[in-house]
Amino acid sequence: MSTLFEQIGGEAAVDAAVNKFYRRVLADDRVNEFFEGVDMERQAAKQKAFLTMVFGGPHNYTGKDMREGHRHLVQRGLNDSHFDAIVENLGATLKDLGVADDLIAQVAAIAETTRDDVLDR
Amino acid sequence: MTFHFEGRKIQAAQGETVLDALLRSGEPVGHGCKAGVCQACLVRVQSGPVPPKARQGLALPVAEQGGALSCCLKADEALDLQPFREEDLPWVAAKVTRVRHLSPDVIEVKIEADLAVRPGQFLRVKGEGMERAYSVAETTGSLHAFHIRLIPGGQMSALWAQVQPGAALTLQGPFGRSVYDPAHPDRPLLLIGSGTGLAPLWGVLNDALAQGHRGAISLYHGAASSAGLYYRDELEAMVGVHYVPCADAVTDPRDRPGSPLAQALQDHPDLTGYAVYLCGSPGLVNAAQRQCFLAGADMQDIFSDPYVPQGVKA
Ligand SMILES: Cc1cc2nc3c(=O)[nH]c(=O)nc-3n(C[C@H](O)[C@H](O)[C@H](O)COP(=O)(O)OP(=O)(O)OC[C@H]3O[C@@H](n4cnc5c(N)ncnc54)[C@H](O)[C@@H]3O)c2cc1C
Ligand code: HEM
Repeated sequence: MSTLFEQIGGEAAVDAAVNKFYRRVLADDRVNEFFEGVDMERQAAKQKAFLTMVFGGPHNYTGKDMREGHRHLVQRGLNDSHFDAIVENLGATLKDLGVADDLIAQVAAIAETTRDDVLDR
Repeated sequence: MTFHFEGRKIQAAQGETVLDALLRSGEPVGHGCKAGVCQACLVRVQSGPVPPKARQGLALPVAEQGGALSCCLKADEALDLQPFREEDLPWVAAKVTRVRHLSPDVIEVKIEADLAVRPGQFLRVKGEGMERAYSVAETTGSLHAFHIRLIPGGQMSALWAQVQPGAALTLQGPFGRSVYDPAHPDRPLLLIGSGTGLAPLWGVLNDALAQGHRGAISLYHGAASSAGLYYRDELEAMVGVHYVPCADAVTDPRDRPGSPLAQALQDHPDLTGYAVYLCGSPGLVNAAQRQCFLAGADMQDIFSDPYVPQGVKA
């Protein structure tokens, strides 16, 4: 049985999704303020790291990394509604790319496991 | 086994990654995904084996300068590594060979320096107790050209205003990623800049033509007034380049009024598949990054150099 990451399409799927996903996020007034002033060149790699992680691909981020990496955003008001918006944009991106609903649900489930860490609770 | 990092011997286990060995030895290297994606663990390889995976996704000039992802390097006796700190590049001596005016307040300064630079990158120049960045508009062998705007009251500008052929300079570099990539000869190029932001664009443009670029090339150059649009005649005469001069205060009928960004997006509303180069005032460059991305250009295909003033703290 292949892994979720392989079923979605691996690194190629990350490459295909990264610009579509980040374009959606930047166009989304619910969350784009958190990405204000973030350098575009460095973003590509960071967004790929995010997608690889939620696609179930290889990474070594810990819950502590997620907590520390988003704490400055929590201090700026990051909450459940923003988290939901990111997951929604993620789902819409994957749907656009023709990924099957059950795989999208598995991606959303992985994202869900990080909620308390990302929101620092 | 051991390898070298900044001259220090680092102990590593067989099969261990360089990043893991560095972290275990207490070296303060950045790191994130540890899987070759986030690029946080970049190091400079002086010598030793680098698998392709360790350079995957790196910008061309970063890879050329020895950059590699330490999470994808296997510990190896032959590896000699440095932190990837650009400020560590050596300072080299240079000589001014020619100075001429391109417009009332822009000069071209040609220099001779033993540096391998790609057109579009920038160098740092030492002044009296300060350093300033200048983009390389032309480079052939050891000869390089800057376009420099003389800013009234500017510290470095005061030195440039007096510079003569034969003057000695001290330079460091190259820096920056805004270079032509010959791997994509057919994609359209959109170049947007203001003032001396034309310097790297001129460099990229000529490099693209010299390397046989086949896709369309469009250049939108803006200035406060028509008189500031230097290189106008050269650009108008250039075959294979769609040149659009823009000015806030138009006094030349050939110029379009307003911002080069607005003009460019009006002509090119869909930037899917484009490479975009943005240089000049930070306000223009930052707005353009975002707008060009939302118009369809991909993140990794947007190259920008905001001319952030270094004399004032941001
Ligand atoms: C990556 C990079 C590449 C650059 N490439 C070039 C180049 O190719 N050609 C070039 O001419 N400059 C370039 N610059 C800008 C250059 O580095 C200096 O900032 C500029 O020459 C002014 O230096 P100064 O010492 O004369 O002025 P400073 O003494 O630093 O500043 C004097 C005053 O002028 C203001 N000021 C500074 N820059 C500008 C500006 N561009 N427009 C209006 N006001 C300004 C400052 O805010 C300050 O109030 C580049 C900057 C960067 C970061
Ligand atoms: C859905 C769960 C989430 C996961 C798994 C996740 C994961 C990640 C990862 C892996 C990184 C890169 C870290 C690095 O190596 O530098 C990152 C950075 C970032 N994330 Fe998240 N994230 C999530 C939710 C969110 C949300 C809800 C927001 C804001 C609305 C957000 C905003 C950011 C920002 C702004 C950065 C930093 C960019 C930078 O510093 O350049 N993230 N995230």
